[in-house]
This record gives sequence, structure tokens and C-alpha cells, in this order.
Amino acid sequence: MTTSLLVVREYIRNFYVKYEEYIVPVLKFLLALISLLMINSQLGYMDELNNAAAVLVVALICSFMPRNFILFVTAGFVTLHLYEVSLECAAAALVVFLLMFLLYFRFSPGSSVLVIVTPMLFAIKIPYAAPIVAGLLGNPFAAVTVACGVVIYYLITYMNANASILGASEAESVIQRFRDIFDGIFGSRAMLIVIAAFAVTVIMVYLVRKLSVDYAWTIAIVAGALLDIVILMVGDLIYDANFSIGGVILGSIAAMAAAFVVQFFRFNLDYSRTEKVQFEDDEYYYYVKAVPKMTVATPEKKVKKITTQRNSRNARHTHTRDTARK
Amino acid sequence: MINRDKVAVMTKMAAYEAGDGRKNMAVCSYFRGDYVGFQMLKSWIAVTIAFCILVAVYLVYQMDSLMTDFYNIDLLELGKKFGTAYLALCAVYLAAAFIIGQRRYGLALRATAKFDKELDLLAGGEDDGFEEEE
Repeated sequence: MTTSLLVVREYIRNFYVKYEEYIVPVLKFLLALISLLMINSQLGYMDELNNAAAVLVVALICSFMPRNFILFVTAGFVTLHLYEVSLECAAAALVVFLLMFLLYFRFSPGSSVLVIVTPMLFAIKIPYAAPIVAGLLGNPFAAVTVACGVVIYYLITYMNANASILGASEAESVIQRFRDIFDGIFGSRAMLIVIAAFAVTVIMVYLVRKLSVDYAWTIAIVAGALLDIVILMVGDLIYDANFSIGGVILGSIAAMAAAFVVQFFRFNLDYSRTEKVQFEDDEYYYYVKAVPKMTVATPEKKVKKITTQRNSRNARHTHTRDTARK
Repeated sequence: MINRDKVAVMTKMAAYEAGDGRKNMAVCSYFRGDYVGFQMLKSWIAVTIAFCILVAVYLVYQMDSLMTDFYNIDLLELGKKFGTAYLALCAVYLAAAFIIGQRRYGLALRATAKFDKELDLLAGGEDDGFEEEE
């Protein structure tokens, strides 16, 4: 069973290395497409953006742009949708995104994928996978990245739930509406508890998986999931945030399963890529395609001898002599 | 005759040059002090803009109480509070930019030095270890 899984992993790895130049844009396209569709399903207020053609075109553009571009595009989509609700909503979202870009993503440009994936994991009910996977694959600063993802999710959820009130409250002053929005987003106890739990979990998972003990990654996954559950439950008891205990436990089990899958397929950390390079020296032009060597764990074929041949030993000796002579 | 060892080294170098090498060369085109200083300047601008946004949000959020008690507010004290917060934020981010800049420059310099060494080795040809194949 394990051997066949390893073989499958090696096949996938080989496939990835061979077709990396096509797979990466496809993955970026899918990430952009799914995130934009999710935003449209939650905040589809602007008709120009809430149609398949616009989403497909933008996702296609994202497929050949840098990864950070997807984050810019999703932030733009959220802000424009909220502009249809009210100017204050759009301004509040813009402030949140600007602060994130200016204070964090400028220093950590590679972490944009995790920010996009975290709200997606919330949507499929396994947000607890985000801190565990971030701790496994990243560094302690991933705690800030996950926290940003949590803030974005709660911002979208709050806007989705209160859009009708926020859009219709013309009687209130602009300042009062601003206050309501910021109170609604940052006054959410559930969000603060989740941020604290996820941040501590990321750091704990990172520290445990760096330990030089056997099964450090497995211990990190299990300990991280348990710590996450404990912090969420304690936070719920103290601040009465109304978390569903069953949801947290089942979500954490699913998150552990997801983390084990990531652990199994973590080949993308140490993969080597196919390189196509051109150079020249005094005598030649070189057009080289360098393909990394594979360690394919194909199952060994065992040949069971049923009958022995009399001359087999002699034949083997002869073969060895021939080889040595060569 | 093609020298296989040489081709292998040249391939690795060309791959490096097309990928990380380009970024590292851009970093190493500055002096260390200039590069780190430039990174700190960019961070200072970003932090200043972020601080202005935060102050604006604070003022809008507290607008009612500020307007009501405007004549009772100790503006000097408020200014000191903002100034201290700004300096603290700047100190943290400039320190972070300094450390990250130094580290990135060090790594880029090391990689570029290794690349240059391999380049010298290639330029040296046979005498420096690359034997011509028969």
C-alpha cells in the first residue's frame, strides 16, 4: 500500500517536473478562478464583475502574471463589489488591504498564496488546515499571513451578512457608518480568537517540525491540531464566541488529514526543474535542455526461479569476466 | 570536441543566470550601504503612508468625541502620543528592513561570488580542471 502510494507520488512528481512550465500557469489560473468565483458568490454586487466572461478573462491574465498579482486582483474585486454597496464599505476594505500591503506583504511577497487560500479553506469548512500547513511549509512569520487571511474572510463575511443594512443606512452620518463597519469587522470576538489560535498554532507547528526527533512532522500536525482546538474552546468559554464544538473537532480532523496529504506530497519544496538554456563558448553554440535525474520508486520485479540450469553458474562467471575486461 | 564537464557547469551557470542570478546581480549592482539604505527608505515611505492611514481611521472613528470635546483636548499630549507611536512603528520597521536588507545582500553577494569563481574557472579552461575529452 505504502509502496504504491510512493510510486504514485513519484509519477506525479515526474509529471510535474516534466510539464512544470504548463502546470504552474494552470494552477495559477485555477487559484484565481476559484477565488474570484468565491468572491462573486459572496459579494456579487457589481454586475460588470459578476459574470463568467470577466472572471475567465481576469483569471487568464493572472495565469501568466506573478503570483502576487492574484492577491491584487482579488483585493480589487472585493473593493469594487463593495463600492456598489456603499462608498464607506469600499473605503473600509481598501484601508484594510492597503495596510496589509504596506505593512506586511512588502516584506513577504511570496506569502500571497496562503492569504488567498485561507479564506477558501474557511469556505470549505476546514480553516484549521491553514495554520498547520503554514507551520509545516513556512516560517513563524506565516502566522501574520494566516492572520491576514482570517481578517479578509471575516471582512467578506461581515459585508455579505450586512450589505443590505450598510447600503440602506442613508439616515446615518458617514462617520457613524464608518464606525459601524470597523466595529463590525474588528469587534468580532470570534475573529480575534481565531487569529490568536491560528498564530499560536503556526508557531508551535513550526517549532515542533524543526525538532530533530523521529516523526517530527507527524507530531507537529497532531499537536498543532490539538492546540488549535484547545485555544478555540478556551476562547469560546471565556469570550462566548459561539463556536460549534463538533464543527471545530471535525474540521480539525479534516485539517489533519489535509496536512498529512501535504506532508506526503511536499515534493515541491525540493524539486528540481527542467531548464532550457542557451549559451556559447569560443567554438560552439549550446542549446541545452537539462532534465533533473529522477528517483523513480518503481516496484522491483522479482523473478522466482522454478528450475535451475546446470550451466547458470558458469554463464554468470563468464559474464562477470567480460564485464571486468570491459 | 565537446567537453562534457564544461557543458554541465555552463548549463548550471546559465540556469542560475536566467533565474536567481538576474535578481542577485541587480542587488549586487549597489554597494551594501546603498542597497540597505534604499530598502530602509522604501520601508520608511511605506510605514509613513500606513501610519497616515491609521491616524486618519482613528480620527474618523473618534470624530464625534473629538468634535464634542475639542476645546478640552490637550493637543500637545495627543501629538506626543501620535509621535511616539510613529517613532515606535518606524523603529520596528526600519530595524526589520535593515536586517532583511543585510541578509539579502549577503546571500546575493555570496551567490554572485560563487558564480564569478565558476566563470573564472571556465575562462581558465583545461589548466583549471576541465580536461578535454578525446
